[in-house]
Order: sequence, then structure tokens, then C-alpha cells
Amino acid sequence: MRIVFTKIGDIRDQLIGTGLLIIALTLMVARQDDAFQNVRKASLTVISYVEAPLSNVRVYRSALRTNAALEQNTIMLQDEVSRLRSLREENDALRALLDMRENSEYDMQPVRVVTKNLTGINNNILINAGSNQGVQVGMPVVNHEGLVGTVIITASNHAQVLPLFNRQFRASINIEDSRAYGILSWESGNLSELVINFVPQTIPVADGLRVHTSGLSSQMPPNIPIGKVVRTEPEPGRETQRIYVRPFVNFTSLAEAHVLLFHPDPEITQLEEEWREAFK
Amino acid sequence: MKQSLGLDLIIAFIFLTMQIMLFRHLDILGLQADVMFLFVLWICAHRNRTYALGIAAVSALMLDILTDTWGVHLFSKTLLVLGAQRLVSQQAENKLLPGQTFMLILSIAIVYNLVFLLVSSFAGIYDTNLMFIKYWIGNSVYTALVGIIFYLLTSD
Repeated sequence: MRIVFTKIGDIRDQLIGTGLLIIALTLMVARQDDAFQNVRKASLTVISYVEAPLSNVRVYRSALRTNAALEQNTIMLQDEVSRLRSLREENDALRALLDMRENSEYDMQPVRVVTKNLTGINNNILINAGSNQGVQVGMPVVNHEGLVGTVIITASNHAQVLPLFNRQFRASINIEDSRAYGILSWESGNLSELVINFVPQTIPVADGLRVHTSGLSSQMPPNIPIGKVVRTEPEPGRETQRIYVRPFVNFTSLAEAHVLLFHPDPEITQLEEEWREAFK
Repeated sequence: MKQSLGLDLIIAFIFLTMQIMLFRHLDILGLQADVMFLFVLWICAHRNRTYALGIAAVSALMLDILTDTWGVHLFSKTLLVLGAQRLVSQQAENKLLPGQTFMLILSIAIVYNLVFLLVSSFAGIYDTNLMFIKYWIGNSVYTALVGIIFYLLTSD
């Protein structure tokens, strides 16, 4: 039997391959060796020079991504700021209402404005409290700034309010530091001024004086702030003057209020009824 | 094709440069195409095995040096030449259709990337446990796509 030896040339590639694999394995193992670190450092230096021009492209791409992310964050933060501002305003208004409620001598029913129609035609406000909450027709509606209006219709859990800016609204008022009384109304000129009639010209009324309810009406308690005098005009052909008032209440931002659970003195009410009966 | 060591080294250098400066940065969802793998396949298709082993080893070693992988490319590409040279050179003579070429490149790339990732894990270069399948299959498909594009651009 003859033994056939494989020639070196037949397995040349396998031998070369095995050698290369051994070199590769040696490199992999030696990679962590301290003596090899200088070679690695040199190769990293070379690659850093090669990579340097491309790093600008990478930085640019990264900057674009970062920019997009930051824009998104900015929008979210703006939204958050806007929401927080809104909450702060609401918080301020509620705190003021709370203070007013604690200092008031009357019971109050806190209400929220459900709808607000201040377009100039049949201005009215709908609130979320009605007869079930003790709200009755004629009760004044106020907020921390002053008088809002009076209740004109009540349902079980809702009521309609006649605001200052309604031609049907009337209130007996008094101007501070004087004994000037008059009737406050709105003449539908604009949604920023009310007018007081029937104040004699002999009574000097300066701009900036505060106006509040007089208490002469049985419908409203005295000293509810209403607004500030902005100008006066003598009424032609009469001895009275017209006093224009800018209300304290900002109807644009009005969202919460209180209904003053004010009940007129029964004796006064009875006297008024008897008076009306007597002149029927 | 006429064998020319100088020309092949220049082509190897071009592929090496493309790999380092271009394809390392053209990653898609973290996947990279290995154009040096395509170069080695090309060498296997047009040169004899001993020659291909030499060229592949030199270029793989250069790639190892420049990517700080030290031996991983050399090992896997040497195995690639040893294992695939005969198949690739035979199929190159058969003038395969583009679809068949794509499937051939993809099949070899899947085996090659499996070896490459296992060797990388052994060398402690990549922690491939979490994304093993993604890198394995994803890199193979990406490389095969680039390969078929090269093939279509360079074929008659």
C-alpha cells in the first residue's frame, strides 16, 4: 500500500489562510496589551485626520436634528407658559373672589359664567347657579372688581344676569365724597362707558371719583363698587348733568363671580307694595 | 480580466477610502454597508484564490488599523475568501442575472456577517447581544443592496 502525501502546493491557500487567521487572532488578543497601545494610538491619530473633514458634516447633521428638537421643545414650553399664565390669572381672580367673600357681610353663591353675550344686542350673561342654590331674581352679581349685573331669570341650576351693559339695567348709585345720587344706566354707545343721570349741576363731580351703589333701592345693598367717573357733561336745557363712568369689572375676562344672596328688608318691601297699592 | 497588483491595490485603496470616509457615515438606523466585503467578493470573482487571499488580507488589515478593530476584518475576510472564492468565481463565469447576483451577495453577506459579528463579540469590540439580529440581517441586506447597485453600474 502506497501512502500519498499531499503536496504543499495543493494546500497552499489553506496554509496561507491559516497563517492569516492566526495573525488575526493574535491581533485580536494583543489588542488589549499595553505594548500594543502605542500602535493603536498611532492608528487613531491617522483616522482622526481622515475623519476631520467629515466631522463638520456630522456636526451639521447633528445640529439640524438638535435644532428640530429644540424647536419642538420651544413650542411645548410656550404652550406650557401660556397655560401657566392662564392658570395664574384664574388663580388671582379666584383668590380675589375668596377674599371678597370672606369680607362680605352677605352670603354669597360662587358662580361660573356659562355663556357671555356682550355683542351689543340683548347683552346677557348665563351663570351656573339657580334657584336650587338660593339665587333669586333681582339679586346682584358681583366679582372682586365690582358690580356685574343683576339676576333677571332663574332656572333650577342656572340663571340669567342682566349686565351693566344692557339698556334695561338700572341701579341707584352714589358718588364718593359727595351726596350726589343718581341712576346708572347704559346708553348702548359703547361697551366701556355707563352714564349717570339726574345728578344736579350744582354738585361738583370730579373725574376719577368712585361710584358705588347707594342702597336706596331695595334690590341692592349699598357700597358695591361700580366704576370711576371719566367725564361729566351738563345736560342741555336741564339743571342736571350727565356723568360718564368706566366700570371696574372687565367683562372681557369675566369668568367667575358671586351672587350676593341679598334679601331686601321685608318691612321696606311691604311698604313699597302698600305705596304702589295706594296709587293704583 | 488581466491581473495587475498595482491596479488592484489602487482599487482596494479606493474601496477602503469609500468605506472609511463615506459608508461609515451613510448608516441607516445604525446599519452600515461593508463595501470592503464587496471588494473582496469582486477580487474572488476575478482573481485566483491565493492572490485574492493576499489582496483581501492587506486591505482587511488596513481597514482593521483604521477602524481600530485589529484582526476582526482580517479574520472574517480571510474566511470569506477561503469559503466563497470558488463559488463566486464559478458564478461570475455564469453571467448571473441581477436578481440572482443580489441573492448570491445576500447569501454570502449573511454568512459573512454572522462570522464577523461572532468574531467581533469574541474580540470584545461589539456588544452585539441586544441588536444581534438587526445588525446581522440589516447589515447584510444593506450591503447586498449596495453590492447590486455597484454590479449594475459596472456590468456591461
